[in-house]
Amino acid sequence: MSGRRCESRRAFLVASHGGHWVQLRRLAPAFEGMDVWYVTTTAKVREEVAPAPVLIVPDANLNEKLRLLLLAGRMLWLTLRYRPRVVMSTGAAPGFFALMFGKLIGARTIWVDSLANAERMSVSGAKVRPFADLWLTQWPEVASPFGPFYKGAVI
Amino acid sequence: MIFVTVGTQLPFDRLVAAVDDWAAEHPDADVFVQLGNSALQPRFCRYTRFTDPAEWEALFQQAERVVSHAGMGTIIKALDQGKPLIVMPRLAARGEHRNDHQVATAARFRHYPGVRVVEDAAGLARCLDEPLTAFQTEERSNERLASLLGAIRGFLQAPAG
Repeated sequence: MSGRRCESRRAFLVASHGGHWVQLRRLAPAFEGMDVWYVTTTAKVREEVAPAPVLIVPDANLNEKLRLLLLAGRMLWLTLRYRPRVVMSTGAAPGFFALMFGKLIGARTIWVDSLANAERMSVSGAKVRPFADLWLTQWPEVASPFGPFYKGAVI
Repeated sequence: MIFVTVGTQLPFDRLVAAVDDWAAEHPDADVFVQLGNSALQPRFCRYTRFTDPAEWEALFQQAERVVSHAGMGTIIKALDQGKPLIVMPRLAARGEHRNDHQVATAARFRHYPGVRVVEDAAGLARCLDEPLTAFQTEERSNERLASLLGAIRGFLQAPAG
């Protein structure tokens, strides 16, 4: 550490709008004292989180190849430009790319799979495994000894 | 007021129709529906297609009961604030979602205080006919949230690598 001029405390908190966002916001207190940047799919939330900055990405699901590509490109750009040290997401596709590119630049990464996935990990949540330093489910029934791990839930 | 919300992504005509049919037989009931992209327009309820977060919050706060698809945003807010909630999960077989994860989610929450899960219009009508006092809600313990926040804080404080 001693060689670094300044240890950045920047964290990207990433979720698509709706239920993923509501869950992400409940986890924000864990990042108190850090430089939190939200990455989501609508600017409607700016007021809710102000003065924290909000970066917008296109939403996409797995059936929308072109939108997925746009999303990936935008997320890569934001990651390289703002260089977060920590990336956390509750889903879905935006979070997958955020963790993948975050890992690429050496950020520490956290995936908290949505409560909506009560029987198995979400598609994004399963695919993100190699890029997640902390890989969590919110259902004890979905957890396994090798991950995903259960540490609690937002409700 | 009863606040009905179907979320922003997908239509849910079966829920809109069920609520409207009930409202038709209960002219005194004040029902407000957030329709999303549903094709049906209620005839016996007030409605809007989409709300901004502040409007949604205001409607949610005013409501004495909330009726919803099994969307996590609504379920979390209802449990957190002790708001009586009736959930009708979307069914893949009816083209209401890509898969049946809402059925699984709803099943997990059906035993929580203040939550009812219904499968169809008849079930919904039965729940709406129940007196409000039948919906026993309680202050949520935030033990699970505290535990998850603790795990994340611990990870953030641990040395990297």
